[in-house]
Amino acid sequence: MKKENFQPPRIATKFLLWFLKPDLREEVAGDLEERYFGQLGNNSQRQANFHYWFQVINYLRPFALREDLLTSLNPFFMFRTNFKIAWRNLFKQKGYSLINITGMTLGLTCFLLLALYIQYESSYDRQNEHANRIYRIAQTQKGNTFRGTDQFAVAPATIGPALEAEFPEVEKTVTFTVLSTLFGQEDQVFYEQGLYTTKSLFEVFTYPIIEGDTKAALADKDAIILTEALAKKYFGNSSPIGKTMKLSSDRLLTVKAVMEDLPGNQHFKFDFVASIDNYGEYVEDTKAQRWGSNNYEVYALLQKGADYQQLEEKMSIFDDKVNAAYAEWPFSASYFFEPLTDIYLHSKANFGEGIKSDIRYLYLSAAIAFIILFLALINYMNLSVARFQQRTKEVGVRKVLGAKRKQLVQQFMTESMLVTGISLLMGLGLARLLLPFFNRLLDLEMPFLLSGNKMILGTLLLLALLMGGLSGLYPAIISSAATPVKALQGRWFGNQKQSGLLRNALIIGQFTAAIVLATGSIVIYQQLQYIQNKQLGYNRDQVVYVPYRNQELFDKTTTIKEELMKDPHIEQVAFTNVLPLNTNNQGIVTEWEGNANQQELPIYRFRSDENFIPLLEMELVEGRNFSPDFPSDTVATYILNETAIKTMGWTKAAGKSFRDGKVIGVVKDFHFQPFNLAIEPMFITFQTRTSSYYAGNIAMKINSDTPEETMAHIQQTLAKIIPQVPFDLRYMDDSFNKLHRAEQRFGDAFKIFTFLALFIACIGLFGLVAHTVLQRTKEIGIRKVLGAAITDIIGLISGDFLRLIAWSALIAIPISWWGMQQWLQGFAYHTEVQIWIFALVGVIAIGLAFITISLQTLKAAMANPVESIKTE
Amino acid sequence: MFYNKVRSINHTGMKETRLGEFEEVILLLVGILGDDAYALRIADEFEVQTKRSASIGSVHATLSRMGDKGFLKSKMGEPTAQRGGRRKRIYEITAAGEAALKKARDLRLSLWDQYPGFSLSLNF
Repeated sequence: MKKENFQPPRIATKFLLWFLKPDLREEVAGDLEERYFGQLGNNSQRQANFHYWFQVINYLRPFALREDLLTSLNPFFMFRTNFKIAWRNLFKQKGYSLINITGMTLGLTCFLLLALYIQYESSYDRQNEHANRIYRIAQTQKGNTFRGTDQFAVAPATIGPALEAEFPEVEKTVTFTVLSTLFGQEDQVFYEQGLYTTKSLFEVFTYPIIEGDTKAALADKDAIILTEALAKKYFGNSSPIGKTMKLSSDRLLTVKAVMEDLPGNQHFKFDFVASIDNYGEYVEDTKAQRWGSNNYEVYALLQKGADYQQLEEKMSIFDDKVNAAYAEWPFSASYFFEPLTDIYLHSKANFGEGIKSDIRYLYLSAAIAFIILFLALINYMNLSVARFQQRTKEVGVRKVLGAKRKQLVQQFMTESMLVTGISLLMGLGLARLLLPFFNRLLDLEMPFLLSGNKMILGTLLLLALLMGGLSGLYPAIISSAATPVKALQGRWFGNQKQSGLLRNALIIGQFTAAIVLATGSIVIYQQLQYIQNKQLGYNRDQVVYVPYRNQELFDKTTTIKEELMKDPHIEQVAFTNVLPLNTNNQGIVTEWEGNANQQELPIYRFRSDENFIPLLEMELVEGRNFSPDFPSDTVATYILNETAIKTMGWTKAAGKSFRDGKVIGVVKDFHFQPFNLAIEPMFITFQTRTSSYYAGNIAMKINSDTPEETMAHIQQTLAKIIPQVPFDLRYMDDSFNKLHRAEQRFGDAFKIFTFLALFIACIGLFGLVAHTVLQRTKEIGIRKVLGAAITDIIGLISGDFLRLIAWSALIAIPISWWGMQQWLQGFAYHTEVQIWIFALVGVIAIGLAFITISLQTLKAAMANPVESIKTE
Repeated sequence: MFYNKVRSINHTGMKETRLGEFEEVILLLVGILGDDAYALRIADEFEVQTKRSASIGSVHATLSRMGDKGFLKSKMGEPTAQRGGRRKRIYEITAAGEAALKKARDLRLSLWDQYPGFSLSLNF
């Protein structure tokens, strides 16, 4: 663009012409334009623009202003005066201002952080261009309840193509499965998440492409698409296009495209994309048209305006095929749609790929945000009412000098707006500063985005305005109602009783909220401790494991075990398909002694070996463990848990027939699920070659003072025998804690907000007591002269306040008891809400309040009564 | 702030005839520039001559104030193409302006004369 084509900034010109006297417009606009083009000769456009603005602003001089502008600015000058006085008051009473601004700043910071959190959590998957037309196909299997629900977010391979063929309102479907795959190049081999998909992935979901042709890539079985991070990991900064990658140690794929990394707020994750034709089962499932093969994630893009609920009903045309596929099962499947944007927060279905949260956490966050803001607001109202009593003379003088009601209201409003305004700015800064810590606490990657679809900034401004208005309202109204004479006498002209009541109610409200939060935080802490220390029925201490996905490993188990055991610090080695963490291998059994095929038993399956039970120190209540002494143990022998025995109605189990074999023992119930789920029936059977020995874990019990050496030994041994399995050693303890991480984080965040709530309530009380003491200085002096002890005086002042705190505790108890019962109901195994918690929190609240009060009162009580009486 | 000044400008009372330093320079520049004496040009020339920068607005304000005092008169010039056809306001010194300038110069010279050991050796 040539410089001659530039124009001075239009807004600046508009502004200039708006405020300039009409008869000056022509010459000034001309001068400034000439200067602008003069500037362009030597400077950049930016500099010239800046200079132009500078010149425009410099025309804001009395001689150049429109006449009518000056009169219309009168309220502005009035505001300036109000502002000046508000500013002076702010510094005159530094203590109060500090309390107010601190409280409000903290309140607004919490609010802002929680609002950012809510915004982020509800933004999941919305970055997709067609987000509101995309649905996940899930199914209900009536009678097949698993982990508390009969909904499953998986679908057969056949349903996508069938939907596209039968219903014109289905624009496109995509079927994929996410598998952790051994992936890499020569010496760099890792497990990566692979998305194996049909060709339409990029037509349904929106993923920005960095280079290459995704369409061609998905049409080609031998092609692969990498995410940017993965491309960097293997190829650094050079382009990976055309390079080959090794998949599952035998297939070679060519990189044909690179896509941007997935945003943090997408519910399912993957590292690379390949054609689903690489997934053998899919090819078979499609060929045989298996409606029962629920191995896939299926998403459908509907036409604009299509009604997914109607479509759900129409899907009954598939019923015959589906029922045929489920003929051997005691239940069948019916399909439904889950809107993409609801999945992260609302889906209840099992097996959904990716991460899930719970809308209740968002409601709770919003509640906490408002509670804390409410506490800060109360502080301000109470303190400004109290302070206002000292300013009655000022109001009187103003009234005598002719101040109108409106002007007085404006004055007080300006003061509260000033405090809110300062707090808002500080809150914004503080929130920006704290966001990284908050992100780490919640393990998220939230950006500091104030203008997202939830319009945080707008809400915040509105809220600040509301807060400022509300907190300035009360003093404003009372002052305007006063007669000048009364005001000048300096007497409190509000209704003493009424304002006292209001103040007391506000304090009670404040401490009630703080106490509810505090008890809540203790109960949450107790439940987390309970989870940590609960007798699990097994011992996870010093147990490490290496997960693997490898078919050849089975033949080498004996060698691996022998080699590992050469280190005396390894006490036990067991091979097992699952560990008692988040077991998910479940089936239904109908054959057992005494059942005659009538009852169905949903039961979890462990496939392990004779070392599994001793390694985890589980207890056998009947019969025996698998043993090498009985070679027949490897086929069709079962060890059941107590719940299974009870459910089947047995009293003795050993020797009875079960499925295709017999029971040899009963293991004491142990927790193999998170604590929100009850212990359910399970059995352990022996690993055999015939069971699909694909994924499993090598579990080891170690007993070592030098764990590093033991780990090194494990690594070397495994690298020697099974080099194709990457070394991914985990402590069972860590994995266990991960299961309850949501609760853990929730507890951590809750603790912080509780602390803040208590702090805000206490500084408010501090300010109020300081004020009361100031007002009663003379009284205190007289009492001292008459012989009152310091303790009497502290008792006098604190008694009033402590009574309010006691009331708060009484009100808070039922509220928090109810709330905590609700929360604990979510856990099948939970601690009880104990009475002593309330007692403790009550004592702490009263204690804190007492300390706060005494700090102020003590000073007054110890002062020389002569000085106190002299004060005016 | 500016709104105070608005109210303190005294349009009917006695005219102030002394010149401030800035006013004096601006007035001289108007005389020097002749037909080319409009706000922007004066501001530019001020910068060239004094090596100090002044915004067009501040120069314009001074010109307007001296117009009120009767030291300057002005008329709109011919429209020119570079300024989008906008006209310039050309300023011209009045007799009163000349008198004020002269008075200022006389005062200064008289002061210089009295300045010890400096007046005679000064070569312009």
